[in-house]
Amino acid sequence: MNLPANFSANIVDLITGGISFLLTLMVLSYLIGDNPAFRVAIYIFIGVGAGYVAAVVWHQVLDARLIKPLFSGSLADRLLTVVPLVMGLLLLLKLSPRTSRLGTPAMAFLVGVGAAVAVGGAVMGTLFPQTQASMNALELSAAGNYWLERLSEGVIMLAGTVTTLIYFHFGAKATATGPQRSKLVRVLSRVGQIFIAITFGALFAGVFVAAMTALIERWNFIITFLSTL
Amino acid sequence: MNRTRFLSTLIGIFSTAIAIASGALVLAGYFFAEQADGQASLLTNIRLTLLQWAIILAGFAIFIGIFSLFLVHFKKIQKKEKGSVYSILLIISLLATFLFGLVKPGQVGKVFTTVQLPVEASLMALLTVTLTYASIRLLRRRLDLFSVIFLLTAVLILLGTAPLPFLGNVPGLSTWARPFISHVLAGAGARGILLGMALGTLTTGLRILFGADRPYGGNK
Amino acid sequence: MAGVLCPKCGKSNPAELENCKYCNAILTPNPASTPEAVPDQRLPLEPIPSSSSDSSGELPDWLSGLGKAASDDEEEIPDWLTSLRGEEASTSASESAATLEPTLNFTGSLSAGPGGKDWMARLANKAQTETPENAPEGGLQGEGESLDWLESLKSDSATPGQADQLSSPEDNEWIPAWPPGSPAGLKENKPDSSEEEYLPDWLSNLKEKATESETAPGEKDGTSAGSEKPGQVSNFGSSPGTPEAATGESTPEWLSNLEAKTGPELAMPARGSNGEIPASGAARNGTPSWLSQFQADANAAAEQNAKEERFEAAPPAPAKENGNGPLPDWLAGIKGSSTTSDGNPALIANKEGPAPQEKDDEAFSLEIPDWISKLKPEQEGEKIPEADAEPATTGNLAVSELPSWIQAMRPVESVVAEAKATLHDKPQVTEQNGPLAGLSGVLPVGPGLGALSKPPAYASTLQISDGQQRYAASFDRLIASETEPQEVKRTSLVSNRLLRWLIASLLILAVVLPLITKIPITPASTLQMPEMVKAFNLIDSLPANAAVLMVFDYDPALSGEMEAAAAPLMDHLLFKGPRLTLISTSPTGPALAERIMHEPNASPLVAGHNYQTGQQYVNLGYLAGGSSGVQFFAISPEEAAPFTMDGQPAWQLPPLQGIQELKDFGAIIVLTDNADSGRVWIEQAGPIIDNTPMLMVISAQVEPMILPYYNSGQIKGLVTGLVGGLAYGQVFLRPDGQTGLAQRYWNSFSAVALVAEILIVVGALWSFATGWRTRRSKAGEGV
Repeated sequence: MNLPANFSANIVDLITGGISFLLTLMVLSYLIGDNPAFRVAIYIFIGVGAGYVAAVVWHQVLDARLIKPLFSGSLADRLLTVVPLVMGLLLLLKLSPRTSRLGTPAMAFLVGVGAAVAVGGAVMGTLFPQTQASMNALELSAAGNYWLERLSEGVIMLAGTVTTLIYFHFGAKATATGPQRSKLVRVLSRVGQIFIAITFGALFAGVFVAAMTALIERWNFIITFLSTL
Repeated sequence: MNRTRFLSTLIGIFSTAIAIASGALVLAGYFFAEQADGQASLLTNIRLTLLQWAIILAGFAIFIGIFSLFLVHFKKIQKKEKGSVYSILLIISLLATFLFGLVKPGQVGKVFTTVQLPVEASLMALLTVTLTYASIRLLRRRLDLFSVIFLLTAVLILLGTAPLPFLGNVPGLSTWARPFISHVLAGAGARGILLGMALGTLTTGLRILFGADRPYGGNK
Repeated sequence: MAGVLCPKCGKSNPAELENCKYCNAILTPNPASTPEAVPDQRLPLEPIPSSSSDSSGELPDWLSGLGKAASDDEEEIPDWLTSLRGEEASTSASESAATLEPTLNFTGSLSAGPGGKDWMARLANKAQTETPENAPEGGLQGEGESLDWLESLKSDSATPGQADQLSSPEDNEWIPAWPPGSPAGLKENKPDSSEEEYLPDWLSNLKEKATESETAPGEKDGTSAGSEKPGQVSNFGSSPGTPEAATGESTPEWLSNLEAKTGPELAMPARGSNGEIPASGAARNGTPSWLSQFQADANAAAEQNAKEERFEAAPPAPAKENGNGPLPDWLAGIKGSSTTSDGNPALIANKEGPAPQEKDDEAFSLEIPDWISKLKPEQEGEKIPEADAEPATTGNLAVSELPSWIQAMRPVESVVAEAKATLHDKPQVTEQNGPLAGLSGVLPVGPGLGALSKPPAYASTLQISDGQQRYAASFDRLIASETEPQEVKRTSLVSNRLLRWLIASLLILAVVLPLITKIPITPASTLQMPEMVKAFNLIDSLPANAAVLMVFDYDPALSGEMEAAAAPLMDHLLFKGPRLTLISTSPTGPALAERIMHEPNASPLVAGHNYQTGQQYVNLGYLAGGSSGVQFFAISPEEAAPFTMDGQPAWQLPPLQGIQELKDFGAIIVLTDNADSGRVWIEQAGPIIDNTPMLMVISAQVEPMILPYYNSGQIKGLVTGLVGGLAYGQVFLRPDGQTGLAQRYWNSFSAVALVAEILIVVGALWSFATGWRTRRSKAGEGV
């Protein structure tokens, strides 16, 4: 009997599809209630995910950037590789409480570099551009006939931005009844709170839409798999 | 006892010095990236080296996290705690996937798409029911101005995003209300949040670079 | 009969004795045999072991030395002392014991009370009319009696209350022999001149003052006894070494105060308790009358001390002993404040009559310090002067003085009774109750203060009222209920589960029905968002074979939405034939990138282009380090990602030819469902890429957070979620008219959205009404 050329591929697809189908049903069974099938699917998912990540990290980080340069790189590459190797081994000592202290320098290096990168990015990528944009919101040169609409939008955006920032200001003065913010700050923060509530409402709607899409995609998969059977 | 304390103090000081030095070098590279002739400056090269080391160490950190997960469930199996059967499944799937990925790095993606993707997508799909249920019960649990504004905004956005069956988009809602709410009102709040986050990142980062904060465990 | 003076202690002993009956020293016939041999008054009454024959070796050195000195210097005994001895010898045993009021100072030594002044006076008289030969014969007897009181003191310490018992002379061996070499001096009652040099200064001063003091009536009784043993008992006036002892000029202030307080209550045995005062020493075995009286007083005081534990008024001082044994003058002179208030020492200062009878027998008891017995209420002291006139004759015991704070603790009834029994007939108001009960002359309670009453007696058990018991019981029930598991209301659980099932069923129905029926219930969207249009325009403006960097930073959970949103854009891009470079900062990104490139189920539009890895696109794989890795890649892409996902050198492959920096790419498209990931790429790569446009395909859940970056111009184009993808697909119409997943999901999308909106609105209104009604009912109950 001659099997189709793509029979093996089809078999593999069938098997993998079947597994995916089964796992999808096991997870969706949570709608009925918590059950062992759901737990089995979750634990398998965690294991597979951790193993997959470990394999990817090994191949694309440790092997490619550490092992290979250490054994087959130039002298300069080797010397430069020794430092992260040593720091990485020190980082491994973090697993044990007794030796975790020795991994502090490696963690300190990671924190220091990460802090510098974050500071530079926050200043250059968010702080300056967004502040500039807030000021440019009232620029009406390119508005044309829609200057009023543009102006109102700009005022509202500026007010919303400022009041939102004021809401996150937690400085207070000591008073007889306890630390309190000034009345102006309290009023403005109240306005900022309204803007924040609107923003969170919009975020909630976006998450809901994304979840709806995922639900549709999953049921589409189920129907498609069943139809191919 | 004194030796241990001395060693701890020494490690703390050494760690703080490393954090400050590495952070200062990376930050300096922002401002002194190029030489006058347009070539990369020494600071840029140092910066790149430090960033590369950080990438390698990040890989180590992920590996340590996965190994820690393994240890936790392994101990759970050793102690025969409740739910250790599931831990056995976890360890078996972890080891199997890792070994398969080591041997066949090009095929491990299939395992991913077969197991991980459908489960994650299904979990996200469950969120639809949960979010609907939560929004129904919201006003019963907490009834105030902000809850009403929150729910009203969500409904309006939803109405403006998805057209109605057989009717299509709601006039005015999809064309004006929804863009105004999302772009202007929500955008203003989001910009304020982003600015606040940037200021907080700047403050925290500078405190770490000055040695005032030592989240890595350096001595105070 | 002439007595023999002991060479050691100087006391008179019978001639037939070979050893001194006091100190057991060997007696030698005293050539002088002067009755004036008076023992040194300096010697305190310290017990000396009587069993030893060689008492001299057992005596303290200072006593022995004193005895020797006395024996060596008998000629130095002052005349007054010698005359005193003679006078003492003539003292009769019928001396009133009332005159004997020795007091014990805090050192325990006896001090001569008012009666002591008698013997001092006699000393003075003797000094003037020194006739040792004229010493009355009774002096011997008196001396013997004076010695015997010492014996009785010793015996009393062992057997209190047996005042009648008299110690034998042999028991007085503890009494130091003084002066030495003058055993007969005591009997002869002649002062031994040889002892003069042994007299301390204070004694000399006493002598001087004794010449100035008057002779009290009671002195006669105690004279013989007092004069017999001035040496032994003189030290009783004060402790050795005290300034008063040295000077003898003034009574210690504390002593004078004590005596002022106590007055007649000085240690005086309770006559009444023991009945008659023991007979004089003459009736006993040679015990001086004053000594015997002293003994009797001591015994009575001991008994009275037991009574005084209830802080009752001490019985009045015993009456002067009539017919009791004579007391030495120095003892009889020992009395209270009235006698010592002038500051003179008790030995010589008191010239008055014998002090009122006191109950302070403790003074005569070696067991009870005198200073304790002197602690009497001060008000009693006020009565002392008044009682001085009669105590000698009434025979009543003086009321012991209790401190005010002790009196306040007395039971009211006893105090009231005593107050009534006072001798004072003054019409004073006696307080009946309260802390001042028993006191007279107290100001009456003012109006409005109310009558003081006896403080209520509180029970030791906790007094709990009924109301408190109820509260305690309810509190106990409350605590007990906390530990009890509460029954979960099954109705609420069932209702919640039913509601969830209902919601899930409706939603799934809204999803499945359109997918199965494929009925187009929703018209196509006509919306064209500006950001989406810009993205379209950018892609459309890309040159052919442009190098485009695509970043796949979304999770598998939202792969359905992202694939539906990105597929039209990627389809549009791939129609341009670009060289794609794929990278991801998520470990699962490369796999998702491969899926969208090749998986028809994921994206039939993109998969249809059949892009080949290494040829048309390069997958650089996973970029670790988060923001650090992005910055590294942004500065030096080749160093940051040297290899492909397969391990091949990436930068030598065709898709990456001519690419050295990030800005060399024609466009950078970031696919993300995470606001942080998108922000990282904007912050790290945005300042470096210069004019290279950055586009984003995002999930609907991050739209609000990414829109500011679009508004600021950092992002040139934006495609948001399923709606954006559908809109993009409607803008970019494929030549073959094929549509993507977005179109397939559209009907279900609108149906699910409608069902969800209805459920949310209806449910929120129902929850609002229910909650409002509940709060209103709670508020009503609270009122």
